[in-house]
Amino acid sequence: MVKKYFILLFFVSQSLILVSQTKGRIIYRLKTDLSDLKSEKFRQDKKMVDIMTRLNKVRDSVNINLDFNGEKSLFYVDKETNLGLSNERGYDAVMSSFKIHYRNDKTEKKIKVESSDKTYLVYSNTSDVVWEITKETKKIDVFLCLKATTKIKDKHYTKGIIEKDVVAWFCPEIPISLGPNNYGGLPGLIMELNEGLLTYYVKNVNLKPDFDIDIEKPKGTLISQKDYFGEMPTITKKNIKEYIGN
Amino acid sequence: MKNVCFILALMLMGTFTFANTEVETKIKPEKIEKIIENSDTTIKITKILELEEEIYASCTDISFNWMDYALDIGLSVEVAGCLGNTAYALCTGWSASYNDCF
Repeated sequence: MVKKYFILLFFVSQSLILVSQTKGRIIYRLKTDLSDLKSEKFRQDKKMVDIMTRLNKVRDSVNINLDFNGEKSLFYVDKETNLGLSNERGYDAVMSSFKIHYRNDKTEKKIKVESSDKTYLVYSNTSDVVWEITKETKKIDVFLCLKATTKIKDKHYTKGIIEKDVVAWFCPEIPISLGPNNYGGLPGLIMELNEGLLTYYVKNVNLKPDFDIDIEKPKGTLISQKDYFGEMPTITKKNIKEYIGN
Repeated sequence: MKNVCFILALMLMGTFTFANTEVETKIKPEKIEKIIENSDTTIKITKILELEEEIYASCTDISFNWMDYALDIGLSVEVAGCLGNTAYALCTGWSASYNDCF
């Protein structure tokens, strides 16, 4: 009987060690689809096209880290990268546009940090995202990745509640069920994720970091995604005068 | 400007209505001439107002296109709103600068 418990304890401790070893840092970068800027509706305003192109250049040159340790992960922009562009006009606006995402797979909750007059922790369940894994494959670097798709609900400032298509390319060879922007739950690391005009891609994978990875839950006022969507106004062409006045 | 034009249009319309009443009582050729003159002005003003509405509507479209684009690339609501407002101001002929948004 004692021997049985000893064997069980051995396996539990071994699996705990395995869990505690699952820490690391994945570095992602962004690639913005600029083809829209060449379309008829935009190209007349050359000044704005130039500004947007410059902003996208800044956005696409910074690292976005995905730190994970056990069941917790944090996705955030690394403000130290590409400080050479910090004098670019709009640099601060770009940097502040990156949201912090916190995920805890033990509690099955994910949090997006939204800052306005105060800091909101907008929470939802990890199970809200339901993936459809397809048979389509793609090689990213040396890894064979599979395509998965999902649809998510989001609140758009001018369009209200919208449904967005999300495409993820995940790699079963890297058994980490995480990805950018709190996406995860796939049987492998998301190497590439497409959400509208933005594509996140992996720049570096570090599974044996020689630095500490401490992940703390962000601080702020907890609010459910549903309530947050309800609080956010929708500005349309019809009601804009109510907001800006006549 | 929009309000001034609107008030002007109302005033002219008022003049026209008043003149019209006069026509019914004293039908004089010179009055009819004046009515026609005023009537043309009213039509012109109405057309200007219509054109102005069209410009405002198309500028609103431009403003929203840019605001949506800024939001789609992940910029904050504040920056996107500011860029949209600036695009609208520039489109309607006001002086404004996108640089003020950053």
